[in-house]
Amino acid sequence: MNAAVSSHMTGLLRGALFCLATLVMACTSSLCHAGIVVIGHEILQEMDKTVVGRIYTGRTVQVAGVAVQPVNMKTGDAKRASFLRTILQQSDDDYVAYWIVRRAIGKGTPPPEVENAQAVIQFVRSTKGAVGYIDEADLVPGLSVLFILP
Amino acid sequence: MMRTNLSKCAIFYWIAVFSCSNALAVDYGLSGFGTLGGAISDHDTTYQHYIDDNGTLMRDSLVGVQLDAKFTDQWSATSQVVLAAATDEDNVLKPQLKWTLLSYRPTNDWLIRAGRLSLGGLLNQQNLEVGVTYDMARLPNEVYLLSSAYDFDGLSLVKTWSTTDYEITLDGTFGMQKRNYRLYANGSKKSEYVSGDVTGGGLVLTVTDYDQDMYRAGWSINQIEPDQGKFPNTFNFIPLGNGLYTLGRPDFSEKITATTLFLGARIPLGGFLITCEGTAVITKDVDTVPTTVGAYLNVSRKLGNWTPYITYAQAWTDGLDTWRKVKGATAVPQQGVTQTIIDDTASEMAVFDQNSWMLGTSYAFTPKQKIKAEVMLTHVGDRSAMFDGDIAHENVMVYSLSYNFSF
Repeated sequence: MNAAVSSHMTGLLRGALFCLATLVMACTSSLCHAGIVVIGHEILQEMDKTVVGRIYTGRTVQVAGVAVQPVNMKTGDAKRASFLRTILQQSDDDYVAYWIVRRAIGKGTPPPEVENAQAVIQFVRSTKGAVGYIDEADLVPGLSVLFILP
Repeated sequence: MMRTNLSKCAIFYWIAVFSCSNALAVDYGLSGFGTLGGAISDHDTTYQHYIDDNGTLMRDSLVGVQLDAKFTDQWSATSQVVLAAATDEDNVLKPQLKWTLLSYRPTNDWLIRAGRLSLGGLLNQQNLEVGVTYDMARLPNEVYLLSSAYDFDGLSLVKTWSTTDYEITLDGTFGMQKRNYRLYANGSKKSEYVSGDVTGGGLVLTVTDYDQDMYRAGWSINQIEPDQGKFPNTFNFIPLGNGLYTLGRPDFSEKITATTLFLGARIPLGGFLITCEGTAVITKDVDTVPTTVGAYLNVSRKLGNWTPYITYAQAWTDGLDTWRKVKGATAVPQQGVTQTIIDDTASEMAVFDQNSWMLGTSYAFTPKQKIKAEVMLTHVGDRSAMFDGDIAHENVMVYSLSYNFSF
């Protein structure tokens, strides 16, 4: 009897530990990418990571005939760092350095920067072809979700 | 004249843009950059126009501002003005119009630009003045000496092909420019600037992997017509007997043609970044500006905020025999060939036989602020026109320190 209870308890404990571990892993994974979504003006359709990367490096200026207008969070923002690391495999410093060169050789200017998610949403809603990124939790109706960071 | 006209056009153009900005809803962006750089050598012979044992801030210091304007999704304009050592006289700082161009980008893969622009055959040619964009204290003069010779007032067409792994860009540029060439007359102990109209262009092919890998190959052809008189291109020698000879009247031409080949690569390799570039400036039957080849290899490694590096650079000219012959001519003052004339003629030849080792580091406070320090050892062979004066088979040490910024 005792052996059976003990075995049952051990099974329950294993199950609980497995659930806890799964939960922790899921949370950790979620925190890693901060639940970031790439949003766009309603005229834009879903796009892949490569296209998003090329938009933020000035290599792509049109998607399906629509002129795109990326907007960035300010340097030092955690979402910006996570976005750049996931999309471009670049640090914020490397990204800033990239744009200093690109600007200096006359090939465009870096995306404008805003302070917070509300400013991103406002820019994306009011600018045709705008692309930005926010926390999934900040999503509001009327925005196109172009890409969800893995 | 052409340069002045473009400057006036640029001023009128920006006034017009500002005047119409409300109607056009133009987006402006102002940025700037600069370098405060000092260099001192252990030799009293001046190197690279300014560096000697007294030290100088003139060689590397500059400040620049850039104005970008976006008119529509496809049309934009850029203007860059740099205050730096003048290109038409010594020891003077002058504002210089580096870029002023109108850009039209109708699609992702086409870019059309008109105005003052640079061919960009060298990896850092277009961002040469923006010191914060590279880690070397000074880009090797063995290769970058003639980099500004590829700036044009003209047109550039850029076509880009984007594949999954690589971005391939073909840039065709052509135009004209007024250029000043500095000559140092060692006999008279003075420098002089000669100006000429340059017409030319070229093609540059760049392949990048969207990250640090970059490969570049380019070709450029330039035709130079001096403003005053003709260009002395071939020397003649008059035998005097007993193996002696003196200088005769040189052959002149109204223009010279130079073809330049560029080859460059930047490759990350096991934590290091390898950068190498080479140029060949090829002339035919021009004794005063013979064919010159230059190359360098740079190895750097990013260690936190520090990026130490080592560079080897070499320049060599296929005209040293002619230079030796000019240098060995006998003065015959009765025929108007004085020793001063012989020395002036020899030193004004664009002949290079030198190599340099550079050991340095940059320290990045932020991506927009860097301090750089470097020790450079240059060995001069028979002759190098980068030095004002006779210096042969000697080593020269140069110590450099600079603060570079952008905003």
